[in-house]
Amino acid sequence: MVDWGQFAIVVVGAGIGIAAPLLIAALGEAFAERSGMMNLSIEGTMSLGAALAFIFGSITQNAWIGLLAGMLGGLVIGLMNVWMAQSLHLNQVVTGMSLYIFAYGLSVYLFRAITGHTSTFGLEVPRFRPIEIPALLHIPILGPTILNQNVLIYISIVLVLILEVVMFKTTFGLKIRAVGENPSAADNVGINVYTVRYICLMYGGAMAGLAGAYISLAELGLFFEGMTAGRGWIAIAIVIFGAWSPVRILAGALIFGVIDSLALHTMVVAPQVPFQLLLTLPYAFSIAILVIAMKRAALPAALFKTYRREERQLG
Amino acid sequence: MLSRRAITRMQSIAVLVILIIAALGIGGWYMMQPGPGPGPTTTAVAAKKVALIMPGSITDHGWDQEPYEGLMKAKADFGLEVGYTEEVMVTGTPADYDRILRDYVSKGFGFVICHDFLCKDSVVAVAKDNPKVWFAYDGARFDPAIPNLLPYIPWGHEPAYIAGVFAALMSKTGTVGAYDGIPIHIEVACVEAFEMGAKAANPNIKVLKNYIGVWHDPKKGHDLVVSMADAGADIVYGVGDGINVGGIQGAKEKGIWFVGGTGDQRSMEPDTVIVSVSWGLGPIIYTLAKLYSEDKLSGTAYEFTMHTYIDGKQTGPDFLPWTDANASKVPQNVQDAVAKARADIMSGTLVVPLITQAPAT
Amino acid sequence: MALGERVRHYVGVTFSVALSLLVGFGLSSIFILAIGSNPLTAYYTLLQGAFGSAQSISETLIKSIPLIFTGLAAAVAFKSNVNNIGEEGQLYMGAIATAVVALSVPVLPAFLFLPLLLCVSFLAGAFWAGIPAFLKIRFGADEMLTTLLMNWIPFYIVSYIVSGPFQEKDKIRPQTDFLPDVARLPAFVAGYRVHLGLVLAIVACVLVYVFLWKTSLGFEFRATGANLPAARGMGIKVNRRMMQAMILSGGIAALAGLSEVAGTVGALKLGSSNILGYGYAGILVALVTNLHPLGVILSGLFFGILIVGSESMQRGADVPIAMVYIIEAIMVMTIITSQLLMRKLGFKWLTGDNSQSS
Repeated sequence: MVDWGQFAIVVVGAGIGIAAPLLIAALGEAFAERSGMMNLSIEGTMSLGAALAFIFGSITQNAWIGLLAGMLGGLVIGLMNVWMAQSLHLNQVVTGMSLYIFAYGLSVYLFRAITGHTSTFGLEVPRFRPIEIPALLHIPILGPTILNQNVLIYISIVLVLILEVVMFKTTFGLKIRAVGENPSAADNVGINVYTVRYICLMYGGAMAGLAGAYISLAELGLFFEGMTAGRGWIAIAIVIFGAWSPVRILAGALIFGVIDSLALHTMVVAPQVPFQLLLTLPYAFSIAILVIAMKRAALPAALFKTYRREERQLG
Repeated sequence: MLSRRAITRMQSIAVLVILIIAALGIGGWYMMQPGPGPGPTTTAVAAKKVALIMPGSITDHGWDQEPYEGLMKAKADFGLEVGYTEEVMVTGTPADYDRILRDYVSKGFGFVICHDFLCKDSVVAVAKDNPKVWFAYDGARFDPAIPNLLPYIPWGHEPAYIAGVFAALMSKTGTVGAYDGIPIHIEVACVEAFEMGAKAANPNIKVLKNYIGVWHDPKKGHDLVVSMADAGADIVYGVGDGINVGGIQGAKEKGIWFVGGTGDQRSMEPDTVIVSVSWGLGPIIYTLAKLYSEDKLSGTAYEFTMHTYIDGKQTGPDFLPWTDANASKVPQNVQDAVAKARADIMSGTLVVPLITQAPAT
Repeated sequence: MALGERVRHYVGVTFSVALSLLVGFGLSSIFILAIGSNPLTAYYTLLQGAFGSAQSISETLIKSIPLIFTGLAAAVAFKSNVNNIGEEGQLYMGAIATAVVALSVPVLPAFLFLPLLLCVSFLAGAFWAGIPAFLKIRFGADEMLTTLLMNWIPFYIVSYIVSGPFQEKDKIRPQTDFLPDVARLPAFVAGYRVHLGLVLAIVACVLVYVFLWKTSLGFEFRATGANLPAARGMGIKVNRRMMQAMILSGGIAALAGLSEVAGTVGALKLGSSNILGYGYAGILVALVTNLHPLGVILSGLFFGILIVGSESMQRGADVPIAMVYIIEAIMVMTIITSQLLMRKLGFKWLTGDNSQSS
């Protein structure tokens, strides 16, 4: 019979791994959305980040440079997004979605141009392996399974705390929220709406690129076309679910990751359950939890409204 | 000081003007080049043209990459002109096959291969309209009313059976696993055969069988293999493309073995993937192209199994055993059992049932 | 507008669009050149692939049909202040309903069968959109999130249906049997595949246009979208309108599924990892034309041309598959830039509501 305790621990441990890229991408997207700009290019940016991270990681044989390359690629996409949506006043849903396709296409284009059609298995890339911290490892039960993660996960958790502080306790965070709620009012009190949004979207893009780099360098050590498999969209869902607050986003990412992991593990021990049903669990659950647990998330009022040419009023 | 609005406007117009000039410049430069006129390329009188249409990416380590490589090898060996279209299911839907098939026909291709199961109705329609062009698609039944339409199919159940025997005997935990995307026939055939082989070698073996709904998500494959390892499996057989690529990584992480699927995946991680069940898609497409180049295509269904020999060479699905480097990891009794299973299958003593419907659990 | 103004208006629109497309071609050329192919051959092939023959035109139209439906669905929703990004799932539900009903019900004469399928698929999509609508009104659940999450579920339902209870008789392929002929949307030009769905799509657009601009209920939808607080102040039951818009939107998106299953394909086949499914593309279709129901027709055609044409570049111009995505993206970005250009030059995109939000 199944040892439920062991089962739970294993599910959670794997769930953390599933949650990590979602968390990283969502943390970036949260800032973008809080400033009033919807960044729908995450899925493509993640793919681009994964490709660049793999390519540069294997060329330089240095995982951190790969990571940086992925972030840089993401930053550029974020920059393009905010330039088109903010400076050119184009519709941000369209700019986001077309950049999604563009970034995805670019990831395939670059990957094939540089590696040809051969498998990435010929290319060695340094990985982010789980770090063994002796003090943590010795914690009974939890040590070897859950507290045995790679450095990026630890960094992400620290990042959550840092960002929570930035968002809610710093002046910059205040500016972001002001710009998101009412750009004209913000401008009237001297906040530079453009600067705030540029920073937020470049950051969001960089984080999406980082999430992609995580998948290719930390999770799998390879690049495969389409490997992001919809995770960027789930990150967007998690941002809304987490009401744009980093700590709540962490919760959302973990919930999704653990349920996804639960579905897979259940599939293995209970094959009589129709697998399609189990695969829909994370989505159905997230909807249910949203409805039951979260109060009405307050969207930044200016989200989606950029193409109303708010900035005209800022003359 | 110009207003922000005016500056933005000027910026935007300036950018546009520059881009237009660039576009015109490039276009103009090209206009002045003596280029090949666009249009159907004229070919030398007897050049044969083969096209391959694939649902996925030619870098997918499996269903699409193997046929593509087979086609390229045929091009090199037989001097064929080739064309290929990939990612049909990624850029579009099965409805697009009709258009793509007709496009190749209009470009003068003499043999068009549609490497998908979902394209049958499209290929049938186009084949009926173009009786002088050869068509091939993934299917099992030849219809004499459409003599130019050739179904072909790789049945991998026999090598999968051998893999099951191997896995059951190698397993130290008494649990093995097999997984795939969606339970449709050639997939089910392999998974079920694996289980039968495993149970034949060790009636007490526990076989985990799972389907994860997709073929191209490496992370999901990875996570499933990890889950199977957590449930006690120490050797897992994957029957997919991307899910294998990720699954292999998961197996490596957990220190268990992996049986490759779809093609020869042993070289991907030699210490983890010690054997592989191959469908021989590369040689299959190569063979079809070869037959075409020699005008030897005939109206029949091309079924490829372990028993298929073309020009004296075994062509098609096969069980790819441990490499010499790994031979020391495989105990002698296992090697013998595998050899016996293989011999029995080839001689006909052992008939592996072909199960194409997932049994209700 | 006076005649002279109208002419200037349309000339301006055409000029801006043409200019933007030219810029798009220029930018895409950079990528094509970088891998050593000839951009002019590529574009020639694109245009050939989209309209080079009667066959191509038929194929482009077929591709446009679901895009027009999902574009219309998105337009209706966004115009009423409802962020429905679940068209993909609603489309699948319509496809599922069409296939399941057509294959389960005893064969009826065509004039009964098609309206039946129309109703059933519309209801399926409306239901699927109704759930998020209900959750929004009752629990305040953000509809962007719920509709997005609900997109994944129908994919798995399809997967279950085509490999299980409704799999074709031969039990080989992950698809259902083909629908009986009377349940199919008939092609209206012999020898080509373009079918009645195109007419349905255009009629739907016209109906929605009339509804939104010529009925008081439609006015309330638009008012809810234009200025929610003001609409509420006018006594409009905004919550109810938003819910209704959502349900209508879902039903229309489902018709895209109907047209694919009963028209283009004839069966329900397993979906795959489509980078830009018809549902998501519909959002782009609607936004490119500023949410105008009639503009959606043109926009859907534009996307059809783009997708069919750029896909054919692989074959005619030695252009790798990645360029399909890059060109599509660049062309969409430049065509919306044409809106910017027109604004700067003083023209409006279409004579529809321009004070729009969503």
